[in-house]
Amino acid sequence: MKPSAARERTVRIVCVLVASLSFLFATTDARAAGPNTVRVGSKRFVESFILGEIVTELARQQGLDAVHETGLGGTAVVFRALEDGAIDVYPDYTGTLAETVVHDGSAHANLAVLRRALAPRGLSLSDPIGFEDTYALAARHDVATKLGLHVLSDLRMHPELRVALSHEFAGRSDGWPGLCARYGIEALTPRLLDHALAYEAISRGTADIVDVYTTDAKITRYDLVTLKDDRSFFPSYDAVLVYRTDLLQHASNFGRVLERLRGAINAETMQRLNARVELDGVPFNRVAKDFLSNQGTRTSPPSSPVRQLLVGTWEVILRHGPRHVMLVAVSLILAALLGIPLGILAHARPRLGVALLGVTGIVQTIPSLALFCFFIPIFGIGTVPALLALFLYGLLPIVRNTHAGLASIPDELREAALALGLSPGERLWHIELPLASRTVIAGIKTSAVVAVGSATIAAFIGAGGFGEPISTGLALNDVPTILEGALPAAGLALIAQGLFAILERAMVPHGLREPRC
Amino acid sequence: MVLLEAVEKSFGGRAVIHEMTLEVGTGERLALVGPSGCGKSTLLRMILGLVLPDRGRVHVDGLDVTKATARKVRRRVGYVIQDGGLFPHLTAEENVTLVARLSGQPPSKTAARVRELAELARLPQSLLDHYPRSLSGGERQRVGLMRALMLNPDVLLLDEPLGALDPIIRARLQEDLGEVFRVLRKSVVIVTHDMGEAGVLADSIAVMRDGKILQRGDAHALINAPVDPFVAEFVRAQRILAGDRA
Repeated sequence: MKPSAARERTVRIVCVLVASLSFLFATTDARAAGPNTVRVGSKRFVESFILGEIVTELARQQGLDAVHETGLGGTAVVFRALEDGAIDVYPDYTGTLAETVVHDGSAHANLAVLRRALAPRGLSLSDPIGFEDTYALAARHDVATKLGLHVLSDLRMHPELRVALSHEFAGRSDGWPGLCARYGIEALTPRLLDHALAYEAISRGTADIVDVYTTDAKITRYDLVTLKDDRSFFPSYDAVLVYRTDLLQHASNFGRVLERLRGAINAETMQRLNARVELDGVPFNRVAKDFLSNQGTRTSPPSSPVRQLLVGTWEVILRHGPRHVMLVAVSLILAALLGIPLGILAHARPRLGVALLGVTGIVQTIPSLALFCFFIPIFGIGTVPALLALFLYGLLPIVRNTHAGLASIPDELREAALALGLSPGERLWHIELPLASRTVIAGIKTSAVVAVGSATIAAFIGAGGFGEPISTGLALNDVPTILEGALPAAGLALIAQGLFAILERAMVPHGLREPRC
Repeated sequence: MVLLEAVEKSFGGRAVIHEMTLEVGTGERLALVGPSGCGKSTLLRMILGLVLPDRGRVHVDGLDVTKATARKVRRRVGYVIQDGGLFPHLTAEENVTLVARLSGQPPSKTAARVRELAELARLPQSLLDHYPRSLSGGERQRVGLMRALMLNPDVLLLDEPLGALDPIIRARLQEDLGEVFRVLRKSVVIVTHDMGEAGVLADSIAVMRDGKILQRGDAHALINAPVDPFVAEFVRAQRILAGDRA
């Protein structure tokens, strides 16, 4: 094959790849809603999942085409998704919304104020669902009984109580510092622990008081007594649905869902539902369905776990596959387009090369979640920061392998090319790059496989992909859901390997291939 | 023709070429012999501008070899190295025609030239589309020679061209090389450590040691009238080896 033909072919392959990817990009990002479609979002914790699933089920019962987008992320991600129209509705809490929307967490947000603030953004609020999920302090049952603890004011009499707090609660202005001031309980000296460890401490009897969420499943499990907020310090965190106002126009039946949920779940019920998922390990969609069927609505027939996993995995592939592939492919192409020239530069200028390889190496050592999060303040959430982070991760193997491939060319071949009077460009394009091609492609392959894996983490910043079910499953401690995302991701990594074997056959010059036995 | 005027070269403070002047006329064939590290390969690489002298000047065909002219010089000089120095990703023919194609010669012309060269270098036409890894050492060297001759250079430089070959192939190739030199009448500089080879392939032989030419003359003169004890010893040692081999 003539060198010019090789170049033409390479250019053609790259063009086709870029074209098909931009197509993928375009199609996966278009989330055009059909007239009867409702996209339900939820935040990444059990209670939100359950509520989201209940809303989804109810919408289906109203004949709507409802999809539950689980595991979008925290409040910032989900709220943004709602504003952007990527989802139509999600469950949240009045206190959180007050802090997010009117930037006033201390105000005891009333619905009217919130509704006024949301209206200009095209968003509406449902009536309260019926329970509050707010911070509270809870005491061990025996301690509460012995000392007669019922309300927070009772704590002032007992500075000897051992208080274990989560870091977050201890730090928030609407947490411990404010609480101390309101109740005059500065004499208590809290220890700071991880939330999970705080429960451990209380069950072992090394702590008496912990901070809890009022619907926390563990309140029941550890037999805790929630102390009443008798001076109304904690803002109200009534559970509500936030939805796009135009939802009721294109899916008018959704109004009935809102109606059905008004005051439908009290704190005790929510605690019980949370406990079934968190403590009994029942899948959240099952818990949601059971809850509805107890209320006299239909229940779905049980299916075998394996079949459920297969069906779930297939659905995940259809829903998240294109986006995952897009994330990997776009970032990989960008990484190759920049990485190969950087590798060439690193080889041509050894001093600069040391610095280049050093910097790309350091990027590689940044934990991926941290890297994703660095970009949020600059690029917001979603596709752009995810692509940028994946691109940076992909860079190192490509730069390093391009450099190594060029460095491994024997001196006599380098000199032979010089002695023929070839220009630097001709040497690079016709001699050095073809000789290094196998190593370069191996580098791109490594990047591709790394990107398939790292892209699962991109779901944490709302970029979608197979990471969505994985992060959902992690939040739920639900292995089948994790598998629904992990299996396709592993499969995609294998496919990437296979594709590169083919690409290697096409791109590595014939004379450099291993002779076949 | 090739002219070196009072060239000097040191690497890391160690002089490799001491003030040296050397001329190879048009059609003249010179062999550089001497022990390893005597500077003979450096001398060849200086002619190609792969190594630039610290002092003195190198001329090839009237062209002063500098950084700026080096590429122009290299296209007028054919260079053959040990084991051919073929690019493994190109077939024999692609190796031979690479520079011609890159400089835009019409394919019909290069194809004709390749056939001509294959005949001259006695390479079977059927091997032209083979990759270097499936050629023998001798065949690779013939392809290397064809590549050096492709642009019809005035000067041909060979660095140990037969060094890596076994005796039978070596003898045959030596014969064929001698024939090529006679037919083409180019200025040839061949580096070897084998006096016998030098005697067969060159008109004159320069014996080098420690970056200096001790004596230049034909094989007869070196054997019968060595001007330096080292020349006498070097020639004698080579004859003993040659005698053993025969």
